[in-house]
Amino acid sequence: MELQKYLDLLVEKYDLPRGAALSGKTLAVGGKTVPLLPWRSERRFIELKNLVHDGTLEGVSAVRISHIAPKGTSLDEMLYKELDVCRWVLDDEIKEIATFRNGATSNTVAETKSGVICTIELAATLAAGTPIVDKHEITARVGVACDRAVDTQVPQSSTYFYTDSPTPVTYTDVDFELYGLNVSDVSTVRCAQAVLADEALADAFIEADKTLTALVALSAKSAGCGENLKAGDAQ
Amino acid sequence: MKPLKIAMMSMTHGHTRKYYQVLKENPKLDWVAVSTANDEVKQVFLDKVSGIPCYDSDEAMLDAHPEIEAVVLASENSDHLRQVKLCAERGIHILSMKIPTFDMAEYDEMERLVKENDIIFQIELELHYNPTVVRMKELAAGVGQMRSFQATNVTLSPVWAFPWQGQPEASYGKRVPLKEGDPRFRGGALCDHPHIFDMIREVTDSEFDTIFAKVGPNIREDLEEEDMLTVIGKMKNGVIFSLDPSWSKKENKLKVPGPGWEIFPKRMEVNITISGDGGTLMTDCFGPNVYENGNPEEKYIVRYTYFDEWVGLVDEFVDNIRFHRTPKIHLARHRGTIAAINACYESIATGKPVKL
Repeated sequence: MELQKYLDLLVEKYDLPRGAALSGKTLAVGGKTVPLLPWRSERRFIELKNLVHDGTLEGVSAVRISHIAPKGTSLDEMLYKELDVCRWVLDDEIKEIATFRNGATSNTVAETKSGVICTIELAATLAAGTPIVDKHEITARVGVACDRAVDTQVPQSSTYFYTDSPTPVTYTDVDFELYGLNVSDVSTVRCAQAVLADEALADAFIEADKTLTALVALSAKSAGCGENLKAGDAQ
Repeated sequence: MKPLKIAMMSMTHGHTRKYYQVLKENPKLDWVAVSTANDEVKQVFLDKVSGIPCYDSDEAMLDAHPEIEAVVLASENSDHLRQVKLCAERGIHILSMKIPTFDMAEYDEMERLVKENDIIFQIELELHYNPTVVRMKELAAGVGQMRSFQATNVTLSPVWAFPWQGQPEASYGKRVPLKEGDPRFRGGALCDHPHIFDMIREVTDSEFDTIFAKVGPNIREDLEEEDMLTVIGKMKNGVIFSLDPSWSKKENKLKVPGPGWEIFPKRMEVNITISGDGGTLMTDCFGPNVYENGNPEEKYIVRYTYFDEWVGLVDEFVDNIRFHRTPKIHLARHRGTIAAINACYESIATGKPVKL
């Protein structure tokens, strides 16, 4: 409900179509239920995509992703997101996938149609409530781009507040218009805004969801059979 | 609400390009025209923006567009009073760059013009519209009895892209030596970085009491203004401070800002640390970001992910005009910040702390 309130503010300000209902990670609009892909509206991924396509990087060779989440997080959901990060940032499609799983950990190599190799290392092993630790690094013939600073292993924050505890309380605020929301919720609201601003996105997201769901299933199949599988082998 | 008919003047200020997106996208605005100070900035503008009428003089633009309600003065500091007169006499509201003027007689004249013509005069201190700064203000009371405020507002030097900032007359308003025997003049990094002098006044809810400033040797030999300095002192409520407003990040001498401008990986940094009896609050107003070493030089740099301060700033400006509200940063409020910067120069000249 709270996210709906923030979306309504943007709808009013930017004169967007009214009546859309934001629920979890889906947006009901125009008789469709659109699965949102919020990371596509997250600033770091937008900037990584810009770097790949604006001439800063040349000749992308590999993407390395590490994503460690609290225990109980679905590895399939984590993979769904990270596969889409690869597809969207590179503007490319996954053609092959190989996965090994052990308990709440998973390692996947996906190759895109243009030959970029994407390594996705997942673990759902952190204590409940621990912030996600992730990293996205793109290596090219010219240039490396990464959403984490050199010499750091964990995400940095904008604000560190030290009071009575040896551990600071941290904050990262990224959006003045949506102040008060965390990075993840900001992305969800901005993604919903993008869908309302561009009619074509709804169908594009629905199609992407089908592709990603199939790729996640393919990864599970690979983990089961121990083979490198081509997209289309899931059925 | 009826969109505000807005224009821009001069287009010589470093923040000019920050307005392009918001003036085009904000539905509260109708971007009517621009006037450019010279052919060089005119070409830079035309290369970036299309569909907006561009005039060679402020007067020609205002005469051609009597519907203009508000103007962004994107000009060098020395041109501000002339443009304020032009606008105020026509009842046009003003969004001024961060330094209206360092000359307090001119400052008085601006205040008179604004009052007599009953216009809104808002000063662009965009840091207030940064979400991390909003968080800092919310948390600041949590440090208990505040004792110290430390801040950096350090950048590369913009003088190669915006030459007026390297000219003492255009930046400071006149040619004033930094101190006896020093070949440099007022008008450099200190004039470019008022933000932290403003922010401390709000966060401490106090005014400057004593200021001591020192300049270091320049790290740019071909500059006739200061680029490295440090400032310490005390607020009237006892909070001590340390401020760094230097141009301490080296740059390549680009005529138009773009890829390859920075030599140091991060072009601009505003970090604020507030300490009190109950703890310490540390804020990086422009981080974290994304990092890369791609074209044009394959050097490791910060690629900023957030520069949206102008969204909130312009929203406030429009509302101030429509509802006839006093801007958060207006001339009377900003006087204490300008006085503090002038006190820094006085301290540099005398070698002594200055009592305000």
